Amino acid sequence: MSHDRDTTEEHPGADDERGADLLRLRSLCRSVFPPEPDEAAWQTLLARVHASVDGPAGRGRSSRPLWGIVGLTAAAVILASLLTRSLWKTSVPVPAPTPAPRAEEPFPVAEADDVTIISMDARDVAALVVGEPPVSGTLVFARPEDIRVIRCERCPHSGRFARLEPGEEVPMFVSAAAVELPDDGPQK
Amino acid sequence: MATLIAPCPHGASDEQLLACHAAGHRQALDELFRRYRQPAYRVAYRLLGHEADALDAVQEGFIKALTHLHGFQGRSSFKTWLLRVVSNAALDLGRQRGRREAISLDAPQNGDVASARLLSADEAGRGLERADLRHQLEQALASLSEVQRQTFVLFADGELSYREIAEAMQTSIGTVMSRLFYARQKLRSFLSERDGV
Repeated sequence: MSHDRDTTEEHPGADDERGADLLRLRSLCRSVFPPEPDEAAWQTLLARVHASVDGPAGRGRSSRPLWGIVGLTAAAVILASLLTRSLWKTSVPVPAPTPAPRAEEPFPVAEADDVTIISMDARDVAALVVGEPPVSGTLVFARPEDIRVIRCERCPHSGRFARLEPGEEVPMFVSAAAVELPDDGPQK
Repeated sequence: MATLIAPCPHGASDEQLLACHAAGHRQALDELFRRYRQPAYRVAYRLLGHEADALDAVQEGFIKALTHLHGFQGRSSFKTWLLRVVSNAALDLGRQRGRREAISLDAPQNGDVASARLLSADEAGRGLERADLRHQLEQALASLSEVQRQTFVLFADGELSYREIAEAMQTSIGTVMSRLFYARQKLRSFLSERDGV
């Protein structure tokens, strides 16, 4: 349905590198395509299609009628073997079918709304990028009421505790305090 | 009592042609075939790398697409439906025939590029360059997984949009974009070689 394609689909990401690469690859594919069959080959092919679709076999019939016969025969053999087995009440173990190996399947691309960060290790903060870089909009800082300290642990390297200072003009300020606290210091 | 069949309008849409075909118009199938034989062949060829195999896949695809129209039900365009069936037929055929690894008869084999260059010294340089590029592209495509390859071929040779590819492969647009992203990454070397030509 070419009429309802939107522009971004017709020229996916034409402004970015990815879309440009894909469009270049598409045009390169066109430019290096081998010669196509001649008209006689096409007409032969069309005649075969007509023979299968419009022929005496009728519409909806398979192009390979032998397959139907083979399928019916196979079904009859399977049915007969099942009946025989049920009559004889044999208990031959049937090996479970081996699952076919799956083709390599890349993960679908997640949308921003699909992701909810529940928790993360503080050491991974540097690896987290939220939003679509580069940031072009206004940076919005968290307000004091947006922050809730659930747990505070001693820094494994310095041995110090962090201290939360709400401040008055500055939205929030967290600094490491060189205060020696008991070993079981503030936990909540 | 003879049955009167209404004439199929000139310049009919695909849907009208399918209706005419269902009503018994032989020419309707001719027109559908003429419209889509080229993209169908290109998709099949790119997946199989062999002309005779590609023609078999096109034949199988047209027959299945027209005899299994109940699976189509107008949810997508006929072209999308046809290319889905043709590409699946091509992949099935490739598996049955041990996949000829997209080596066409006119494309130079591994290590034969230089000799092909010598053999074609009296030919037009442009033709040689095209054959080399075609070979490079076929090698690059061979490095893709089957679904990535099918997705890329439907995009590049079938000229389907993301949405149409998603319909053809019965998956989400996000997955199509993901597959094309991986395909693009793997084919970038081909692009850079192309830039160096």
